[in-house]
Amino acid sequence: MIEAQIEHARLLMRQERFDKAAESLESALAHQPNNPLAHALLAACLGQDEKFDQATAHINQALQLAPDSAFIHYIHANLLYERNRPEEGLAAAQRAIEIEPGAPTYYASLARGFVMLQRWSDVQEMAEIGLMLDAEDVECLNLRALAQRQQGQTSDANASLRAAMQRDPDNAYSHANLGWSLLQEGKREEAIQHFGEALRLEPELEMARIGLIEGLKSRNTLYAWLLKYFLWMNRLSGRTQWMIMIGGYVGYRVIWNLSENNPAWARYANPLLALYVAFAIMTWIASPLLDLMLRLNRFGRLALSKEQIRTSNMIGVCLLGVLTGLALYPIGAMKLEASVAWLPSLLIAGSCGILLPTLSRIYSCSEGWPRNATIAMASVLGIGSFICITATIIALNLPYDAMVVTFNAITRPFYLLCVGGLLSQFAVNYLGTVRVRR
Amino acid sequence: MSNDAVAALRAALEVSPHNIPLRLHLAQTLAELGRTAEVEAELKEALTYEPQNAEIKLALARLFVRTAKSSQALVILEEIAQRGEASAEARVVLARLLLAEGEVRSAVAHYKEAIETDPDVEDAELSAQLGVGAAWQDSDVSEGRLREMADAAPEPVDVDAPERPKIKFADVGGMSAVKEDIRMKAIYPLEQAEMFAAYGKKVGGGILMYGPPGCGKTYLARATAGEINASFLSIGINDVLDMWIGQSERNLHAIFEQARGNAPCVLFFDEVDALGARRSDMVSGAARQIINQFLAELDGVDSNNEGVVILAATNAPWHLDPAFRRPGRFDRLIFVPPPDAPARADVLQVQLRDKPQKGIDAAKIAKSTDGFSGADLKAVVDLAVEAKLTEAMRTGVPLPLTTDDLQAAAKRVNPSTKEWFATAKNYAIFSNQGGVYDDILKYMKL
Repeated sequence: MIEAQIEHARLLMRQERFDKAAESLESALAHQPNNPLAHALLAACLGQDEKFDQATAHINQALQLAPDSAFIHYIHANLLYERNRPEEGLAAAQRAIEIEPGAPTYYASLARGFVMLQRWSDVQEMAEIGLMLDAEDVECLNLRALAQRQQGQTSDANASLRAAMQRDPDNAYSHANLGWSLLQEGKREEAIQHFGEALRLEPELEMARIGLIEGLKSRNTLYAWLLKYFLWMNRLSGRTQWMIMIGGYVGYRVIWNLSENNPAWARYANPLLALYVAFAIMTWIASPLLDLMLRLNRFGRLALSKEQIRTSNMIGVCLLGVLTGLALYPIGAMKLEASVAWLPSLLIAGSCGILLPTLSRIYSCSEGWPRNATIAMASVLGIGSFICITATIIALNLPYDAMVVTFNAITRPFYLLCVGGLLSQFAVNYLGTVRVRR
Repeated sequence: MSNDAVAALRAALEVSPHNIPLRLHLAQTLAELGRTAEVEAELKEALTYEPQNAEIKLALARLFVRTAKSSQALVILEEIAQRGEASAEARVVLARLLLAEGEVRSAVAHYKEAIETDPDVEDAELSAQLGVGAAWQDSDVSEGRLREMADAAPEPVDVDAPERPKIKFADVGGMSAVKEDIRMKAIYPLEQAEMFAAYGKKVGGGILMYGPPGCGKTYLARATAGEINASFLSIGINDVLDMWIGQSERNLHAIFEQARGNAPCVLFFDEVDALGARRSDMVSGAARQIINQFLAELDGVDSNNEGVVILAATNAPWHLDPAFRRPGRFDRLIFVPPPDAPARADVLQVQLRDKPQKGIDAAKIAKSTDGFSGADLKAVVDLAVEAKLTEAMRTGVPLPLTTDDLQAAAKRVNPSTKEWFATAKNYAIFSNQGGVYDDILKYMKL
């Protein structure tokens, strides 16, 4: 009976019904409290439900009962990956390989640890070893393709994936992986087809759902270019990404200073600067903005996640604020001198605009302190913006002298707010890369 | 044999304590007198003189079997068997013990060896249970499986005798569309067989009910049996797991036969996704074999399923092997949604029966418990009762339940169907071939 219960649990795990699998394993353990396999599988199920304390207790018990089981070390590695501890996970996977060097699954596990560390050549190497042991191992084929794609060898990756699909045409992961590879090559429609197929096979596959949405959005030419940029950035190491971002900003400041000092240069510099600013803004808002547009279409609306819908709502409101601010220019022009007529518009539009970076990235920061920090930052900026906007509206309704005084008073805090907004961009970029150990 | 004989034997042993046959004789005499404690003492004494004597050990093992210390008996016998000193008799005892422990394979091995060395020890009953011996030589059924089936219970599988439910459709609140579906598919073909024949409508196939857990699928199946006054046979997950270890398609066949024998009968498979999971998800071959058998039984290849209404329930129809959905099998998928407001009020009223209460407005609570399953509503009542009980113990004044108590409890219960719909939504959007899950989309108003 115990065997049947464990087997049933494994079936449920394959179906990704981890809570039911845990129930089955718990009842197996009630009959046989020292069954190492049941403890290990239970640990895996609990890990999937993010009950990490209990999961750790069970995997430790399993390791104690059967210290020489490669499979249990392998499950341990998976659990550690789940807890965002790739280095420790790699050690566990290595232990599994020491005990049983002939199983491709364990090399795939090692490769997945390297994926978390973005060590793509190591990923590829491990996947290759796995494939030497079993040339048809679909997981290794997929990992190799991922590594190839991240190293820019998309055509090799595609060949790998098509081979994987020939062996197992019903593997959703292969379809999704190929979809991403095609997206990187700019073959949008084909990519969408594969994402759709992946979701048909495995409707809960998140990487396919995200891919499908990105594919649909990149039907917009401007976004297609941006997506290319995002995917290109994604392939770079963390440090290079930072150098590009900071380099871009420093370059912008240098050119700006030069054109300030040499009016003759301004003719060439200004369009360049405007382009840079437009690009920077687009990297923040393009994605949620297109999510907003996707919601006009029934399928898009259904495919978006709750988080994406929430983000697109927030961005929508902010942009509406920016547009309203700009639309208020005639009022400023009517009430103020020509040289400062743009001030009310700028205050309102700017106050809304500086919220865009933080709001657009709340849900890309991982749960826990990074997301909380982003939300806190957004709240502080939001309060500042709210005060600025309210003060601007009040000021516009005051007599002329009082109005001028009020505007003067607002300008300085507003400048501070802008600096905060600028810094928040870098902070959010950093927070988005943080992985919380669990 | 009398106590005198015992005294005489003891006296003789005083003189020659090393005489093992004599001591064994004494032990046997004592055993016949039922003095088991003394038997054990004598045998252990004997072992001190000849620690490796297989005969003494066999006697000791038999004693342990008699006194229900089978694990100790097993240890002794396995030890002598390992040293190759076990007699045929010892092996028979060992085989019996192993069979009781469920280790059919080793039991067979020992029993075979026993009857090979000494055909006289053959035991008809044990032979039948293990599928070993002259009578079984020609069996075309593979030995192992047959033996596994005979494991422990002589009955193929422990299915309860079919019940005859008293509840009818009228007892099931709401769900009129679901009931009509079942009538059309399962009940009318039985009641008005001629009409169906006249239109050339093929009778047969099963109904698969799916939906969030705790929303009355099992209750509905039982009511179907009550509605047509049929017997009701329910196969749950534990029966299935029994089959997995038994590796026995025969068990499944026996279940269907039992249903056919009891026609009209509603044969209900609860959590059918365990019995009929996608073959690619199955880890073991045994479970896969059972799927094939299940399909064959549904098709009624070797027998006629007339008079048997086959119903199944699952929370996860998408995990079912696609072969089950072909025509003639579970070709009708019926979505059983969470109870609507009037049905929820009914459920609450049933749950509140016999509980102290004052002017409870069930309809009002029903309105604020959208998405609650029957099981959730039960949890609401339980929580409210608990809170009231705690209060009564603190104040010493027992107060009746009120609408507010239940409303407060309802806020603390998270509708369990929510999570189910989150998963179901994805299947309904992305994997809705042929519109099988349109009902989900309709219910979710997507």
